[in-house]
Amino acid sequence: MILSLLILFPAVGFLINGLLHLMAVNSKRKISANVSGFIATAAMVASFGVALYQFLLLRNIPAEGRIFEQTLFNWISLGKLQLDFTLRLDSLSAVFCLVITGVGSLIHLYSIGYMHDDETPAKYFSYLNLFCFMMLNLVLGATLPHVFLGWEGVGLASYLLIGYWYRDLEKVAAGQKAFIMNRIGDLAFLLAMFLAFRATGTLDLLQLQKIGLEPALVLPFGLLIFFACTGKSAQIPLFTWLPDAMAGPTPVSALIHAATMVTSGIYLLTRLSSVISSSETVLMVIAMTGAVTVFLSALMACAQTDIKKVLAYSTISQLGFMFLGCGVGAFDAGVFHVMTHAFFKALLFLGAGSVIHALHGEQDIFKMGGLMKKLPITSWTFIMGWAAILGLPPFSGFFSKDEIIYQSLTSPHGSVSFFILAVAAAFLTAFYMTRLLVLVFFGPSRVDAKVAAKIHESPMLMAAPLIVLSILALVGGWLGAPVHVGAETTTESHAIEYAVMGGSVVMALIGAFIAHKKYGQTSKAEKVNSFLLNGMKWDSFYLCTFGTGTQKIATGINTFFEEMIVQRLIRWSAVAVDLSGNILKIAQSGSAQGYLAMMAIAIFAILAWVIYGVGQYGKL
Amino acid sequence: MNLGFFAFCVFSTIAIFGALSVVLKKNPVSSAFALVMVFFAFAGLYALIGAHLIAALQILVYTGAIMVLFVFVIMLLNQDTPVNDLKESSGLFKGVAALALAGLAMILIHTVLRAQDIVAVGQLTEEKITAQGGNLRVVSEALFSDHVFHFELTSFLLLGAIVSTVALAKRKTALGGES
Amino acid sequence: MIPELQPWMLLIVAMIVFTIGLLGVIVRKNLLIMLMSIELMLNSVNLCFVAFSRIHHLVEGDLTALFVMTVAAAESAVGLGLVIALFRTLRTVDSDQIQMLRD
Repeated sequence: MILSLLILFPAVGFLINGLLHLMAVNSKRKISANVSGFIATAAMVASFGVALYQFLLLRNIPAEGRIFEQTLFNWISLGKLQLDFTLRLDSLSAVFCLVITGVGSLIHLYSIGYMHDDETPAKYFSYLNLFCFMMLNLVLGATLPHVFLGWEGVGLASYLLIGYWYRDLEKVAAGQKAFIMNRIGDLAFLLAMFLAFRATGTLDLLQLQKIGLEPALVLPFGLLIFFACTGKSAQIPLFTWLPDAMAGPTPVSALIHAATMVTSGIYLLTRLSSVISSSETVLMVIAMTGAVTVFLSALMACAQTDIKKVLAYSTISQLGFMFLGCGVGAFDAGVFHVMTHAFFKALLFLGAGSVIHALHGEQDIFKMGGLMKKLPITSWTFIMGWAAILGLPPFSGFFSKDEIIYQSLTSPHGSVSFFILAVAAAFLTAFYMTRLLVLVFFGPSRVDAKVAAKIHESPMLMAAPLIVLSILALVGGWLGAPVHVGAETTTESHAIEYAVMGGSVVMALIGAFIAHKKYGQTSKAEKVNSFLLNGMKWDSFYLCTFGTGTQKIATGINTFFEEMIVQRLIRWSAVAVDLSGNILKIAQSGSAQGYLAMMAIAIFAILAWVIYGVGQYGKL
Repeated sequence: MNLGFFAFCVFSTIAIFGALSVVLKKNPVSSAFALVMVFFAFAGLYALIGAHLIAALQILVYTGAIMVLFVFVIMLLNQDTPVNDLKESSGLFKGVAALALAGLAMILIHTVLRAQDIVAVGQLTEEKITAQGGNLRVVSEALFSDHVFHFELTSFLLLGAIVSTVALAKRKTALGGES
Repeated sequence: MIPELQPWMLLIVAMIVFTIGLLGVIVRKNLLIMLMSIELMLNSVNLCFVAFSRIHHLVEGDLTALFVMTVAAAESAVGLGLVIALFRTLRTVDSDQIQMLRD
């Protein structure tokens, strides 16, 4: 079995690059981005090769037994709890592995160009490899703790990479924010894990699916798992870290915060779908959260001025689509969207990175414009990504997004309100993406004159991944839904399907048209709605309630408990000790006779008590 | 007339009054002689209940050795003058002490009175001891057979006592050397 | 009627002498007399051992009395040595004068 190689390559890449970085730090020399980048990329490409090979092998096996398993070692041995470190590949994890290693390889390649002038590329690439290693653990883990290991590991890598430019305190803060927000979700994951173990005695995912949970426990378990997923996958209410996470290098945003890590929530939900989908309430909560997130974050994206933040809110919105898909029971549609989204969102992010690179760090879309002529490759590939996210046929987004919108209406768990929110979000998506497109690439140039002179197309290393991804964004949809999980969805008449399809495409086109009309000729910065710009003030809300609130509670406890009770207790106990000491000092006369007298009295008392007071000695 | 009981009465009266004199006499020398009397009386009591070995040793060790030590120290320290320390203690203190001790004595006596009802656990009745050759033989056999280890251990105790007494009593000269 | 001498009668004497010894230790301040009182207490305990040895028809009480004698000898030797050492430094055998450890 060569399954372990899949995770071994990134691990080796991580170690080599880590050691290189340590050596570089010690010898105060700079490791070339080409060297460390080549090592990291080679590791990822090798891993991708393994994943592809395994995937092809898997396809040849009949559908029932499509599982590869490899046990590496006994991991935890605690009485009843026996856990092996087992990798398990089935069709679901195979898709994720392919996306992780495939898109990951392209982004590694892109990073070589993007991070060319960075001070510590070895560190960057070692983190990137660490991320891939952990992400692969997450999707290959056969047990819940193994998944949790990966879950935490990607959180760590994400934290490290968001705060990669650690000299900028804002970026460090963003990293910490992401880390802490994720911890809230992780707590729910842990609780869900405990619950499952308590109820079934196993942590193995396959067995858990087989055994299932009692109906009464499905609701808490499902909600906990879902809450964990909202943390990692940036859904309401834990989404606020993702826009801030854009502080990291753009390839990181593309890989971690768009293509892979944030979709691990969908992975977990899909993996446990057979367990949780027996509860209507859980599914409804998931769908509602997804639908609301889709709509609200799309609205927020319309007001952003930072090119990466637009994409970040867009990512939240697209993740909302996936959750909506899962929530209405169409888990395969959700996973399908994960795949296509990975292609086009990575493409968009890398395109944005290319623009930022060309403009030497400029991220404000109102200081761009007219870049079409200067950045032809970036522009064309970006347009492909734009078309894909809008869901224009025949681009990949069309198939997956349309499937979800269709399912939200027709699935047994779906409803009209979900459908309306989804279509509205599709409209808004078209609006903000077109706004982004025309503001950046078309219209009059608003670029600073100094910067404008130095604009250049990205090097081939960066352009090549863009091209590959744009092809994937174009054809990815034709692969069809890669996995079939959960209950088969009923097939309504094709008429409704076509109507929905046509409707959403038309909505998208209308949105695009309006945006084009509005922003086509913009020559100065727009005054945006600050409420939407600041992510509907969720951050301020959290700051007021949890931040300031906790502080106030702490202050209250401090004044009440600490000063009123604890300190008084201490003061009075000191007084009591002092007083009793003064009293007892009299007994401490220093006279041996006094002591002996006390001893005699004590002996008298003890003897009297022993002989006359205690029953069993009384009959001596 | 039961001779044994009569002798017991005599010896115990001597012992109790002797003990009182030890405690109450002002002159340490008087106390020491009262103590000698108590020791003799105790030896008589031992002999009365057939503990001949202990009786002999009582006279040898206590009256012979320990009393000599006491008298020697009294002389060495010039303590053969009356001391009035009993009067120095406060009346309250003495009262409390006497009360506690009286209570203690009552409890103790009340307890030992139950010894009348004790059922013997051993087999060495007086007849058996006589048959086996007397108290001296029986005790000696037990001492040098079953309890020889403990007996040997006492030698270490005495050795330690000797060493520590020498170390304590050694006089240090002003120069720090030892004379 | 005059009773037979019984071993338990000795216990009463032992208890009385013991209490008197304890009283002596408590009320007297002369170290020498305190030591003598301790000897009294030890003796009365010895008497107890021997008496119980008779009561129980055992020989171990006699043996223990023997060991107690050894201990008493050692104790009085060390105790008197201490008294001498104390007298040498403090010129007194009054226990009330010996209170250096109090402070």
